[in-house]
Amino acid sequence: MLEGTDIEFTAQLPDENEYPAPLLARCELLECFSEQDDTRTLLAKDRESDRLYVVKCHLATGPFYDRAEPEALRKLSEDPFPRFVAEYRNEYMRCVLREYVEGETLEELAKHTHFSEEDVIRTGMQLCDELKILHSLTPPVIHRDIKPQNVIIRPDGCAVLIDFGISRVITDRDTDMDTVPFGTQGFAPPEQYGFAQTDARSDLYSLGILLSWMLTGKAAPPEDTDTPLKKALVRCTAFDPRERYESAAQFKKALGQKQSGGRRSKGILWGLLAAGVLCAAVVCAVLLPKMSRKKVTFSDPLLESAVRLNLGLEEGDRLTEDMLPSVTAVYIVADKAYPDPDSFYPAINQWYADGRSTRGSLQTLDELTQMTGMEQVCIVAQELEDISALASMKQLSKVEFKHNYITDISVLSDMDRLTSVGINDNPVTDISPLQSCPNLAFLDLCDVRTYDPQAIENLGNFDYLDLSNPTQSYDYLGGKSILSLHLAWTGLSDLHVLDDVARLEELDIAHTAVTDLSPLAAHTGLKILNLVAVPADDLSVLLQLPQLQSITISEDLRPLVNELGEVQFSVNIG
Amino acid sequence: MAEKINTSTLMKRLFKTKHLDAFLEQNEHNMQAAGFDQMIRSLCEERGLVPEQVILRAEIDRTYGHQLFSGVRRPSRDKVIQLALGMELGVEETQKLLRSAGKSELYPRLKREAVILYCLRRGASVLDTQELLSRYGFSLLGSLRN
Repeated sequence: MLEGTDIEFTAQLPDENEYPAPLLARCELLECFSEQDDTRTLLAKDRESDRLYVVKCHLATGPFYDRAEPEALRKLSEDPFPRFVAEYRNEYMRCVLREYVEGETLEELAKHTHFSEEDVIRTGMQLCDELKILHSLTPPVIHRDIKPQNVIIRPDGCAVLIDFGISRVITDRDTDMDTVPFGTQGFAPPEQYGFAQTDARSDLYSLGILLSWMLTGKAAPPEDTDTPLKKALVRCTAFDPRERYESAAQFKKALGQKQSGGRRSKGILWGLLAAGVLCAAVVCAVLLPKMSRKKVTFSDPLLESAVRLNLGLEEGDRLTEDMLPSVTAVYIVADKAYPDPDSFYPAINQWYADGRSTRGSLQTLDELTQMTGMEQVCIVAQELEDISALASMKQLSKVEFKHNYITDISVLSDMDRLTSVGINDNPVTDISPLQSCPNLAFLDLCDVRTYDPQAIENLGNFDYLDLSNPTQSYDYLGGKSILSLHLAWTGLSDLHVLDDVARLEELDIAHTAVTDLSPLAAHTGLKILNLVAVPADDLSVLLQLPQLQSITISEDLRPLVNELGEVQFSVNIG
Repeated sequence: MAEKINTSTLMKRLFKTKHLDAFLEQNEHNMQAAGFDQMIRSLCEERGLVPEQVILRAEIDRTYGHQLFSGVRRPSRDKVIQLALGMELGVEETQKLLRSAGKSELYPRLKREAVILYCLRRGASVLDTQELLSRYGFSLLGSLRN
């Protein structure tokens, strides 16, 4: 489709040469986060390491081209600040590379998340820690642009202050008032508009507004002081800097005291212990929250690795019991865990390509029992027999258990969020528990040989159904609506068994005994057909399928396709 | 009462109304910016496509694709672009879709972005786009994590 346009198109490609040559040699430029006045913020990828960087480009026409970043910021290496990577410049611009912080800005997060008072306090305390570091550099650095767009919430929940674009150093000669009204309206303190010199307390003002905004949705100080948190926020956002908290450390301490629970119960606990009233075990049982911060260890490192990937924990990070309900998905193929579906599916294909030579040794899922928020359990090529631990997972929407030894799936009955079940190559004896899953839409029974096929009758409609097994399940599909149906390597010989199946768009009958394809004419919605190794002698029915987009055949059917003349669909050899 | 109407109907009602206050109150739910999942569902419907087809054309994993349509998951920027290509959206609609997902718009001053814009404009498929990206040595769609 795009052929013949290359030369013309190459001439139209934008000239990236305005960027410094060493930057282009090192990085691929991917997207533009913002373009304001004389500063562009880009996302770039290191061609060698694949690491992502944020590139701040200060154009020569603007005020920041010559104003080098303070040396103290360059050296800043404390977690979680994005580290300085490099600087490149040419006559058009100066480009500063920093690490890219993965996650969502607070602004985006707010669109689909409601923040609890605890969220606000936790975020506030984390940002105080970061401000404490910035303010204690020599000379001190004031961020001056704290707002929801400049706070990233990492996948692990940590709030990270980014964008030191207009931050500046306080030096002894900075006694005059700020002349340029930087900062963002609403979040910038009065003094940033020239009422007084900005200092550390200016950042505290903006942080106070940010936390109020998380709480109320308005970028203004709280209107009332009916909670201790709001009281602290009102003080933090006082018009006169002298009435605010003195330092980030002081504000953090104030926030910490607004936290109910943890701190206080610990005090009581120690008091009781000192008085020797009760033995320690009883105190713990009564006073400590149910989920403790106890470190969790798994008997199989594979499972631990999958859980850590889902929680976004690094190698050395502590995995504690209270984190377990936050786990939403685990992805494992043979002897390795994966973070997401994008890496999990290719891993399965690779495992097939490698001749299925490895297998993991997981036998039960008992250690997942506390993970009550689990949505997807995808564990492939293990020695799983017992999946009863899934009973505690009310949010479960998908299970994928290809190549295990599961016989009993009764735990799945009545799971009303379950949409997808994959039990390819498992000796499951009864699939009737799936009858009570009202939202089931994907079912993979490929190579499952041991169930009673009549149970298929009582299941509903499907977006995807794979019955590529010897049970002759295809005899029980009448009256169903199925978008994508797979019957490869079966004894299927008569396509009339599908006459009563509605909505078919994809059909796979590779390696079957079908000789007569003419019944396909009834399925006018067919888009994709797999006919590899089908002993058909006439393909003319394909011309009666107006929606057909692609077929896959084996070489021996090629002459029959050629007989059809010019066709609208693509022909693949499989 | 919470019917969702399309923009042109809303416009007609606005011009017919005699009481602006009442209009604003009655149509408040029509003024909120649509979320990403809402927007792909309605774009899909406008084109007479079902999510299944779009997901297939977008070369996105099925389950993942359906989760994007139902709003269970939030897409990466590349996935938004793949869906746009899958629905053969124009440039304007793609930019709108990116904004609704909270992602930055395509930016024609960067080469990789220009290739993607070119492909959108030509109604190219995801595979054609990948081929062109790879021919110029750019990262393929879906190979980035942000």
